[in-house]
Amino acid sequence: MCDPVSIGLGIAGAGLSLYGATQQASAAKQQQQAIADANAANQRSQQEGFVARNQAAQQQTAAQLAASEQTMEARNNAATQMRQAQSDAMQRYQDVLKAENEQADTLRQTGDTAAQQLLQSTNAQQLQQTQAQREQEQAQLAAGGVPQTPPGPDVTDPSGSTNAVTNDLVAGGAAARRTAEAATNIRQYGARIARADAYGAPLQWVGLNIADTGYGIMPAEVADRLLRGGSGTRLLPTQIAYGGATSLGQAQDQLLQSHGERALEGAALSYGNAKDLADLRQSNEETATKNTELQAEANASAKASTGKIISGIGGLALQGAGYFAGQGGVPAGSLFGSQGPIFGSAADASIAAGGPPLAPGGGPSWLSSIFSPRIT
Amino acid sequence: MQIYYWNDDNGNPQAAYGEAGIPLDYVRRGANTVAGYQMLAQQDLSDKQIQAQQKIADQQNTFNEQQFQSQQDLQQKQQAQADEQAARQTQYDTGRQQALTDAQGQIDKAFARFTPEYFAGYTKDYLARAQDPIDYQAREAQKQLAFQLARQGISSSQAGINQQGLLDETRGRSIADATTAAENATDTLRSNVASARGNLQNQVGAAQSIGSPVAGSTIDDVNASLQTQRNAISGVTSTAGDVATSLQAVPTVNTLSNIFANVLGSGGQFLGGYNQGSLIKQFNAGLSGTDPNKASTV
Repeated sequence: MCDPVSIGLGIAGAGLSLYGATQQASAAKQQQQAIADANAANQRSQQEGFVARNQAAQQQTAAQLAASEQTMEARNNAATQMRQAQSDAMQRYQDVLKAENEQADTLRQTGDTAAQQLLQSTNAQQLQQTQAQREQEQAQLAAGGVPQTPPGPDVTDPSGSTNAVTNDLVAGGAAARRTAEAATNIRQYGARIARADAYGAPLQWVGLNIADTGYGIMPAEVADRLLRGGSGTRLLPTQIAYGGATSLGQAQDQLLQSHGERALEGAALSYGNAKDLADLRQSNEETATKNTELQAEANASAKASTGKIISGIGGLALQGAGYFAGQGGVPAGSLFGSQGPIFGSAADASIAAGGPPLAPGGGPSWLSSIFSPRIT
Repeated sequence: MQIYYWNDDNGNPQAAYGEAGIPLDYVRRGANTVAGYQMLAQQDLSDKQIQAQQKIADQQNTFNEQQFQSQQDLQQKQQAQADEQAARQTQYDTGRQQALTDAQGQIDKAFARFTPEYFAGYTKDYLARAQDPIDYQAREAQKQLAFQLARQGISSSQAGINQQGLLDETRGRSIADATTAAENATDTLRSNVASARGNLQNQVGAAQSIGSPVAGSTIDDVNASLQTQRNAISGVTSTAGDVATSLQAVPTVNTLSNIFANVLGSGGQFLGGYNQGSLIKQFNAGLSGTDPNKASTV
């Protein structure tokens, strides 16, 4: 038969075992819930971090696109302006060259005309004509000196005031014939001299025409030299304009490039910082979640351990109840019948078992650590 | 966890509960956890970085624009200088050319008298100048011949007529020779005129080349250079008239030798011999009854 002690001990052991099992189940459920909460929190923080990073990346893309478009438009305008200025400079260069060439053509036309006139005035026909004209002119000069009538003695003529020769018809006729013969000889001689001397006329003519031509074209020649000498100075502005347009265009392009790069760098920095903030926020939340999860797991583990102990005690009680029930009751003078509490003081039991001293709260230190709230 | 205390801007005491290790400034801004503090600090750092980046960009842009503006100003200044220099060069060259043209016009004016008619007149004058002594000697020779013929008593003789013909031929040939000299002298004068005109022109060109071929740096410098050249050229052109006048020299003819001496000498000898021969013939004819006063049939 079961004595009341054994019955009570059995009931208590069964209750403790049941309570411990319940505690273990509850701890397992809490641990499961903690993991689920941590997963949800991690997912939420990752989602928030992703959204933040995505928005930052979109903003960076939009900012970079806008900066690039603005930069490219400005660079395009600057390049167009530079090309236009270069084209204008080239056109001015061509205009200056054209004006100088036109002026040079006018001057050359003067020289060409003079050269053509020189050639025409010194061609074979002209030279021959010059020679013939010179021959004729000199022959006429020589002929001009031929007396047409033989001069007779003047008033000093010792034969008297009358001309004896002309008075003598016979002598006069002879004198006329002789004078005519002399005149013929003189004309022939003069013609020969004129013909011989006329050979030098073409050379003289050529020399004079060359001198006249040189004199005539001298102003144009000097003007041509002046035109050539000043050409570099007149072309210099166009060269400066072209070089200046090029250098200014390149400088403006570099300026715009730098401006665009700064804008891109700013957008990149904004994105990087936003990403870092999102990463930091996510990391903090994940760390907090992890800590919370660990805490919950530790709590559940402690609760499960306590449940195990309680269940163990219940099992031990059941074993004792069974033992005593088997012996017909609790013997007198046993621990349960003669001495105080079943377990005595906990400190005594711990010391008797060679374990650590109990915590000031009355329980073992490891138990105190389990049941006391822990903040991490 | 701890409690943080501070006074607000109005001096009122404030307190907040938060985790340990949070700077008070961030607690005042509402951060009660370390994580919140770190987020705020990171946000502050980000704002500062972006502001610094913007400031750097603005400074860089301002510097670039200043440099660009300076380069543009320098370019405009250089362009303006080159444009002005080119304009001055054109004005300078035009002025030099105009001065040269004016100078040549003065030379042309000074030498305008040397026309073909002028040289034809020179030839005639030269020939007249050369013919004058020829005619003079011819007249004297004729007298001498007439005297010789008269002395010989054969004034109306064929021999006298022949000698007269020789005198005429000598005179005519001398005049013909003189035409060569006259033409040569005219050619020489014509060449001298052309040479003198060319020399004057060369002098003008040399005077015109005085000064830099590049125009001065100011319009006053250009005008001063042009005036200097005009002065130099005017010094040459003012002498053009003198040069032209000096070329109008009276034709100079070499002294004529006695061109009839040979004719008269040989004629005298001939006539002497002829007379002797005639006298002997007439003497002989007289001895044979011929009338010594009979007219000559020669």
